[in-house]
Parts: sequence; C-alpha cells; structure tokens
Amino acid sequence: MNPRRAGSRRISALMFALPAILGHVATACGEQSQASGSSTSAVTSGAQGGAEATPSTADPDVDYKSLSGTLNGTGSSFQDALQQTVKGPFEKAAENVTVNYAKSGSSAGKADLAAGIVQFAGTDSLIKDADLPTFKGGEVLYFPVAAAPITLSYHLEGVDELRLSADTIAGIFQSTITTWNAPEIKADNPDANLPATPIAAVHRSDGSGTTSNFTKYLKKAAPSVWTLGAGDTVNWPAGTQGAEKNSGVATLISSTEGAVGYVDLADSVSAKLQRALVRNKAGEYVTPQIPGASAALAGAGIAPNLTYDPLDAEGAESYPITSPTWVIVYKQQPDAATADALKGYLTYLLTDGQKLAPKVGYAPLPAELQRKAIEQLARVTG
Amino acid sequence: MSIDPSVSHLDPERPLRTSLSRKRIFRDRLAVAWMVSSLLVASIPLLAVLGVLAVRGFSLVSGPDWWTEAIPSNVASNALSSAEDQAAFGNSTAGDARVEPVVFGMQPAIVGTLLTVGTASALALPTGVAAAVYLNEYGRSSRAADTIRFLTDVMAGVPSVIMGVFIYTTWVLSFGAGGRSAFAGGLALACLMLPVVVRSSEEMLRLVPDSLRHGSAALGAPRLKTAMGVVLPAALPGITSGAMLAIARAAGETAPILFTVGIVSATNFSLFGQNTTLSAQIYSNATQPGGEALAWGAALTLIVIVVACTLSARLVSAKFSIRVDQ
Repeated sequence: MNPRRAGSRRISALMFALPAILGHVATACGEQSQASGSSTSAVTSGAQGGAEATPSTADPDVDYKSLSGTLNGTGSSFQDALQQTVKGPFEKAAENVTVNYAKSGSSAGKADLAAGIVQFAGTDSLIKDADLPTFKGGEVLYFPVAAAPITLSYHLEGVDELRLSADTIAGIFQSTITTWNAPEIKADNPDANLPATPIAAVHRSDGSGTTSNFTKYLKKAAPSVWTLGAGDTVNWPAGTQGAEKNSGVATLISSTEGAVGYVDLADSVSAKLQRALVRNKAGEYVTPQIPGASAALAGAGIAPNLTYDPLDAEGAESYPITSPTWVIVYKQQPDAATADALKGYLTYLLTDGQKLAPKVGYAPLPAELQRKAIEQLARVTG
Repeated sequence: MSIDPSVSHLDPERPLRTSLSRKRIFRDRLAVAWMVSSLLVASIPLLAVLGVLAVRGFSLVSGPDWWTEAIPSNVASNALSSAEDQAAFGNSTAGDARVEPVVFGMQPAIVGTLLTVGTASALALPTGVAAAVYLNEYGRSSRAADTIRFLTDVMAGVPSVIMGVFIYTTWVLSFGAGGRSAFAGGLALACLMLPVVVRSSEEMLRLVPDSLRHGSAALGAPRLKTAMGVVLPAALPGITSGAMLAIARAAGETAPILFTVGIVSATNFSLFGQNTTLSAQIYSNATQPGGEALAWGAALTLIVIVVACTLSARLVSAKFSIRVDQ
C-alpha cells in the first residue's frame, strides 16, 4: 500500500490543465474571393402576375467598403433563408461587416431587440402595443423585406391537384372535416377522384409566426367556420397532430398518408410535397408560388409605419395566404458606425437582396413599398 | 437437491466442473449467455450512433476546409437551386444556374465550443474539486457540509435551460449588445458542471482508504498536505472520469447556449462578443433546407472533440496519479 510519487506539489496545478486546444484552427476565417460572387448575380424574378419588382430605381449610393462592425440579428425562422442568402453577398461587398442571423422565432427576436442584445430582429408579426414599453431603446422602425406564400401541403396518393377554399381549410383544421371524400372537399374538387382516407391535419407545436399568419387568414376569410382565434399558438383540436418548425411539419406530412399541413414554400419545395391551390377573395384557385404572393403584395394596403397585410388580399391572381415579414430596428442607434453598418445592410437587403429573394422562395417587395422602405432608412440615426 | 458426499469439490482428484450437477452447469451457461447477449444488445445503439455519424459526417470532417472556413450561408439557396425547385417557386429562371459551390466550414463552432467549454471547465473544475476536498477531508458530516451536499444535489437536478435563463437574466441582459458571449455560455455551463464535479469527486475521495491518510499524518504531514499530496492524487483517475462526464455533458448542451452564446457564422476567437457552438449548429442546421450535412458533420466533430478530451485527460491523470496497491 505504498503511495508512489507522493507529495508532488505541482500536481494540484497540473491536474486541472484544460484539454488540448486543437492545433489547426490557426488560419483566420475564410475570405474566399470568388470572382463570380459579386453582389449583382442577376436573377430575373419571375413576377409574371401582379406587381413587377423593379429594384434600383430608388437605389441609394452606399459605399459598402467604408462600413465596419458586427450586426447580430435573431427572430423569424420564416425569413431565415432570405437572411442567409443575402448575408453572403453583402459580406463580400462590405468586407468589414459581419452579419449574424439566428432563427429563434419571431417572439424571441422581438424580446432580444427589446433587451438590446441584438442590433436587428426579424419578425412576421407586429409588436403588441402592451409590449412597446419593454423596448428600452425607444422607437422601433419596421422595414418590410419580403413576403412569401404559406402553402397547404398534402400527401395523398392519386390526387395530383387539390383545390381548397378557406371554409374547407378551417373545417379540416378544426376536425369537422375528417375524411378526404367529405362533401365540402368534393364541392371544391368536382373532378377529382378523392379517396376515403382519413385526414391527418398537421400544425406547428411551437409558437410560430407562420401559425399566427395562417390563423389570422382563417379568421379573416372563414369567419363563420373558424372559431379557434388567431395567434402564435392556438388550442388545436385533439384530432390534429403537432410538429416542430416548418421543416418538422413538412417531414411529418411526407411520412403520413392523408396528411395536410401549413408550411412555408421553401420547406415544402425542399421536402418535395404536393401543394394545394387555395381559393382567393375573387373566387379563383391560385397556386402557392411567388407570382401569386407578388400579386397579393400589390393588393395590400400599406400603413404609414410600413406595416402591411397581404392576407386574403384583393385581386384575381393573389395567393390568399401570403405572409408578410419585417426586419425591425431601433430608430436611435448607439453610435454612428453601428447606424451606418445597419443602414448599409438594410439597403442591401432592400435592393440587391430583393433580386436574390425569389431564388429561395420569397416574393420581392413591390416598387412602392420598396421605395418607402428605402426612404425610411434616413430615419435611422447614430 | 441432494449432495453426494463422495463428490466433494474439494476432492483434488476430480475437476470442479464435473462435481456440479448438470442443472447447475446449464444454469451457469444460461446466465453467461444472457449477460453476453445483453452486452451485445446494449452496444447496438452505441455502435449504431457512432456508425451513422461516421458515415454521414466523415466526408466533411476529414477535409481541411471544415476546420479552417466560416460556416456557409448559401446552403439553403444551393439546395433549392435546381430547375425543378425554381419552377415550383414560380420562377422563370431555368436558364440561370449560376450557383456558387458551398464551402463547408465549421471553424466558428469548433473555436466557440472550445472557448465555452474551456471557460466552464476553468471555472467549475477547480472550485468543484476544492469543494469536494472540503466536504470529505474537512467538513465530513458537519452541518455546513451536509447543507452543501444537499444544495449540490438540488442544483444537479435543475434542468439546463434554467441555468441558461439564469445567466441570461443576470449576465446577458445587464451587458446589452455585448451580453451574448462565449464567457456567458461558460458561466451557464459551469453552473451545470459544478454539482456533477462536486458529487463525483467527493465519492472518489471517499474511496481512498484511511490508512493512506494515517500514514501521511504519521510522517508529520499537515492536513492540507495530506489532502493535496496524497488523497487527491490517489483519487485522481476517478475524479478525472467524473470531470470528463461533466465536460461531455456541458459540451453537448444546446438550450443554455442558445440563450447565452447565440449563433454566428464567422470565427470569434475572443471570449467576448457573440459566438456559437457545435451543439447550437446541429440544432440550427438540422432544420435548414440542405443543412443536414452540416449538422451531421458538427455532430461527428463534437464526438471527436469529447473523445480527444477524454483520452488526453486519461493520459494526464495516469501520469500524475498514485496507484494504491492493496
């Protein structure tokens, strides 16, 4: 029972030595200079119907190279793909600015901006009046960045085209319509051969801006049927199924025969789901695509604070469940450098970013909304 | 069962096994077979996880870009760039197939994980082991020691997300724009690690036989010297195992990280300023179109880092520990 090598006083210090730091992390973050990656990778947005997005008329001259700083943003997962897509080319144009966007949900993004932890937040819903006093940085400005259709994606063998009206959708998600051959669905699809498969309605289990806009639409377009109200979460009936995030809903639909759920366009396309045509205010059945969303944007009224509501919009070509989305920032920034960097990023988002938007499933802003948003940039001061 | 007195297992002429009844041999074999098959069944999930991770993540992790480049931001736009997907969006851009290739990098999260877990270990391991030395060598069963034991047990049961919220409200919110950082994450993870380190270290110290302490005291060593020079080195392998468990648990935490560290895509070598970790990247990329590859790669990297830490800690502890030959 001999203690060997006893009494070494250095032990106590050495034993806490932290695990080795990996050696090969020396090279600084990659500034790969790809010649093709200039900010003007021209994409002709396919706005066939409705508003033609013509960015660059109000294109302000910003010297992106002179900007510097780190911009942190959190919030809406709905606009995450847009933020990620725009950030890369922007960081190439403005080499001294780093932009970080983390999808944490609209509510979390608003809370982060209220606490001043982030420089900007993404949100699909407006700040409640009751919450305004918690924004300790003062006045908050809304910058519309895009809009996108919320699809009704489904999984039903042998039904390649499905048409739905607001009342039918409300019935399905309230579990009053429970099989695919129900008379309400037959009335929307007189020619389709609908099976007797039971309907599995899939909704979001987490608090979500997508749920908020979807339920707002049903409240607006199917007031006589929809009784669950509107919000980031609602009390779904027991017969429905929940899944987390847009991607979770998409996965559940693709694995469940007879399932239908509301998913953003990018996730629905990515999961290769079938998407239903939805009847708009004019009585037309419209496919959930960017032209339909652009048409809905053109028909939406714009409030003085640049909030707009493209849900259940007028117009024969409008897709009725078109969700708005904003970037929100404080009017008063802590210093001039931050204000300039932030204005630079928003300028990019509102000009060159609009050309990238359709690539990832977003409808660019109509010219008038875009012009007003760019004009509002002047109100951000350092 | 009657035992034949002539067949004693003490009989040197006859081997032991034949002295047992057939029934007992059968039971013995059955029990061994059951234990071996249980071991195999238990290792299936472990091997399956490692195998799937290696298959899905290896191609990314093995390249140099993974360790040196920033996290790509064009994953979603690349995944959705096919003509078919663009047509589904309603875009008439079939001819425009100018797509930048994705450079798969994970350096920011690797650096962030090391910074965050390193900070947490630097805070929790010395304090935790020192607390364990107090509890076992000085406090014993005094009222103060019992109170500390009770509180650490309570602390060990607190869900990790609550530690995240705690640091978020006390630290992150009070620093505003600079609040989210690797250091804040380290604080939250240290709160998580501390009770695990205290309790596991105390158990290990308790296993050190008193004869060692007596021997040390008989040679005239004061109590502190006995504790630091004899008892602690004797318990070192066990303490290291406990510390590694705590580090592995901390490295895998996601919920407190989202509150306190955030998600960035550029490398931040500083303890301050927003950062990101591998677990946060797994969380955010798993649900992004085209991001699954990044998530698998990050998962494999996390396991590689934890294994590397464990191995190096074992080597260090083997070098500095005292072997007690009973």
